[in-house]
Amino acid sequence: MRRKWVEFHVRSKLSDGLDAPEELIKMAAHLGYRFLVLADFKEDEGLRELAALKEYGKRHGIDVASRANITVNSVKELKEGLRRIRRKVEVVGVASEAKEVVRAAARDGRVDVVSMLGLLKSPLDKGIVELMRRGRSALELNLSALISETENRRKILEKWMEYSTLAINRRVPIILASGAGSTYQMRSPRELIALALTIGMNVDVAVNGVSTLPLQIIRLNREKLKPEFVAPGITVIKKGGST
Amino acid sequence: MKVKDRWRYLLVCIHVGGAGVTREALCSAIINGLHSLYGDWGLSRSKLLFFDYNPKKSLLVLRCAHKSILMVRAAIAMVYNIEGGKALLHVKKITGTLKKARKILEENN
Repeated sequence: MRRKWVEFHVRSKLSDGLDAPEELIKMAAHLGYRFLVLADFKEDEGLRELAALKEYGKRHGIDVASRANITVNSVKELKEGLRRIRRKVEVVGVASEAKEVVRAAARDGRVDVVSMLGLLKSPLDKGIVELMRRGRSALELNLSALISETENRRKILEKWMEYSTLAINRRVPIILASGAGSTYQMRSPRELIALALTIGMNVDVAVNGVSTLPLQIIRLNREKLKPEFVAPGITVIKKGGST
Repeated sequence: MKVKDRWRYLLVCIHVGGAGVTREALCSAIINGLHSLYGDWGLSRSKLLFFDYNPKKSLLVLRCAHKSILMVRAAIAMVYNIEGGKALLHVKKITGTLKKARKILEENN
């Protein structure tokens, strides 16, 4: 069976991206992806367009999933954001420069991925990675910072290596994504893997980071969003009558 | 005894914003990407050689040493700007012979 590649983080015009979501879907199909996670859904307005985008994606052989990126600077705002959005989107990612927010996100089971969007300013240490392991959240490394910032490339590569080593040592899953805000920032899955291998990741970690792991997260959360879901492994199969 | 070099031929698909790019600009962007990641050692190890470029089909055929495919792919991923315009490069196909690569280049629409 062919591996299903997942582009786990792209932003379109619906949020702060440059291109229309349809363009991103077409490019994802061209690059060989089967799943595309649009990180545009912070409020209900964007979610209204999701059904049409999913339909458009289906026509191009792409399964579109919704994602909310919570970028806040206080734990209170993070909790509020999670409460508001968790039951509405398939993936929740948190990116923040505030250490206490990243720590709270790592601890919170409702957070799927802690994203290293602004890689140079992202706080990550052994303690946070340990919390991520216990909270079962994944670390997301985004390529966009690396390709678009040519001046800080050396420092960004250093951070990539540092964070990936921390995560691998603590057995925290790593997800590789382009973090693209436009079609030109997207990269094919095999190129992402090649880049990950050059910074010292092993093949299994890199390949799973673009396919198996993100796919697991999407599938698990889709189950959770179903009305019949009670808890992992428990679903309502039939509702009892009043008589 | 000299061991015979093993080559791989990469068909690179090019997406550029605005007008197309010249072959020279494309080649230098890939070489710069490789150089910025791996330096002179990487450049010499990869033994890059550029063959056909079809601007209409936006496809480039290049050759590299079999052992350095990952390095070249990583370098291709790093190319974001060509002649001031945004660009996206990705490997469409890898072949073992130039004949096959050229055949795919001709067939591709």
